[in-house]
Amino acid sequence: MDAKRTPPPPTPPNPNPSVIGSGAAADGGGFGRGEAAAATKHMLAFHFLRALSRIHRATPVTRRTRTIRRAAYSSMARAASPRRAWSRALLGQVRARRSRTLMRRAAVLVRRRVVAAPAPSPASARGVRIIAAGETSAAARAVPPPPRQQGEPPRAEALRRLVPGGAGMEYSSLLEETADYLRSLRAQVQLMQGLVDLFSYQ
Amino acid sequence: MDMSESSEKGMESNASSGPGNGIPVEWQSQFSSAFACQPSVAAQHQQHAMMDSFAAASAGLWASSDVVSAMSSAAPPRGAGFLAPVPGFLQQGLGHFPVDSGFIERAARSTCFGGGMMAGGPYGAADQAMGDAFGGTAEGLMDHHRNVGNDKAEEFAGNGHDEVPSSEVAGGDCSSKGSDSKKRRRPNEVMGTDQVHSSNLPSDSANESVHSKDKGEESSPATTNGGKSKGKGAKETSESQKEEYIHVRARRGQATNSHSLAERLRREKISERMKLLQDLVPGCSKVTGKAVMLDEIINYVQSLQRQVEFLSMKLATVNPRLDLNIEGLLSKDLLRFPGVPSSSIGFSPEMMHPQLQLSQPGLIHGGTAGMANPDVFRRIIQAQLGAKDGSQMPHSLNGSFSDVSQMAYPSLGSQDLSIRPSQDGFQM
Repeated sequence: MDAKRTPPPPTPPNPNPSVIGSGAAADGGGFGRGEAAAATKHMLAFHFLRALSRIHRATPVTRRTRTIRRAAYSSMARAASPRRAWSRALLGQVRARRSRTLMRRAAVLVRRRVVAAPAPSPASARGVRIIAAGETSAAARAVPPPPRQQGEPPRAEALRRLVPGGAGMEYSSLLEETADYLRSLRAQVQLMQGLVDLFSYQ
Repeated sequence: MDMSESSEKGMESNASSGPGNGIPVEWQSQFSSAFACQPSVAAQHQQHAMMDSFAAASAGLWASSDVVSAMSSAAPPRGAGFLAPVPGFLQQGLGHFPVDSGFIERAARSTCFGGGMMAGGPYGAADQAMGDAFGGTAEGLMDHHRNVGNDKAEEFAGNGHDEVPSSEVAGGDCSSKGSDSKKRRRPNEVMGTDQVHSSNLPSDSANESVHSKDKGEESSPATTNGGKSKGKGAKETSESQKEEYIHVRARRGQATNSHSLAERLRREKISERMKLLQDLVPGCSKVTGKAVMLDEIINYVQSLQRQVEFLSMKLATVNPRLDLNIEGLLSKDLLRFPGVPSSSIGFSPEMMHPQLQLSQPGLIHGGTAGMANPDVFRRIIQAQLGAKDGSQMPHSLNGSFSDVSQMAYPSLGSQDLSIRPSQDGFQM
């Protein structure tokens, strides 16, 4: 006996209709014109979907949220031009995080295998902290902000904190990086919104 | 000796030296009667007034190079000092009388510095010497007063009774003492002195236009159309030179040096990129101020970053149901709905494997326009639900696209193109 199939649930409300629209309405500002923008969107979707396909099903939701967010930013950085400072900064963060994770895993494995602790080296006996290969000090990692220029408004510091890699830039290049970062962020939001809509209809 | 007696003797000796050196004979009675009385407050005021009138008259009538250069160099920078004793003008007894502070301005505005206005008179040679020394303009004298007066202020303040030769002040290049080397050239430094004598330059030629090249270097035009002896060829060359250079009108060369040009380029870059950001950010076209526009940009970036977090949370809740074949879904429903754009969520079947080129171009329609269009998804999923019972998505590539994929990748099965969670976690 054929049961009546119910129609699919209604569409969920859009969280921010001014930003995420349908089709070319949300794609203003000249983005999406030309083959370069289309190729960038293709690469963005490719990297993001490949990263999504590697996530464990058994991962808890909180950790999965963080992993998806990192996947979104790293796919943005990989799809963008490598000449951009924000993409280099994001990829540098990804590499640093990966190297820290690998070093932590290697340290756990070494701790499991080695039963007796090795003899302390003279440097550690003197109390000198040995910095590992992948670890960088906070002073070397922090880029000193450039001196504030003449025509630079005071709100530029907030923009430097928002755009990745914007700490050591001058103001005009910061504005250019912000424009490119905005384009990539908007394309990423549209892709993620499309995926959410697709999976919520299933 | 009393002060009035010394001043009287000084004025008499100065008056007896003849009209070429000092005061004319018909003014002797005025000065002798003015300085003969006992010094009182009123008499001292009268002395100051007489000295002021004498200075103005001597500047207007006898503009010899000795007198004017000594007066211009003797005045301190602020114009509130005492006269230095110059030979042929005043002796040491009158060194304490103050000079009018506006003397240099009055002397510069007088007509004898025009460079050739009184060339026929008895003092025309002195006027031409002044024209040679200061470029024939009133501003040359002012520049000379600024440079030399500032440099020699300590010298005149220290030894007020020493003699200063006037040839040291009047002769030589006016820009060689204390002025920077990037100062704008005067026209007669390029043209030469013989053309200055024949030309009749106006007194406000200091407001000439500076022709600056693209790099910001300053260059004055090599030929100016000032003389009467120049023909049509000079006009044509000057017009061709005017066409070569960018015409920038600046006062005293301040807006054409390299720092100002670099700042101007930087401001143009910033305004251009602000316009680009204004086009990118929605609702920012009505904003006029740069600070408000920057606030809008910051708010927009923050909202986009919050949306990425929110959508990643939603994707994390949806993620266990991620085991569906988006490739098969899109490729199958492209055959069923030919009007649907191929990349309805931003990617097409050949994008997952970039080497895969479709041999039938009629399969793929459109581009990346319908990236976040929910109607496309709804139609696709309703068609899928109408085709099969349940909400099970197909896991097979059928039709001609599967043949193309098998031709391109013989070892790949249809399941290899699907999105499904693998066993190794996502490593950041």
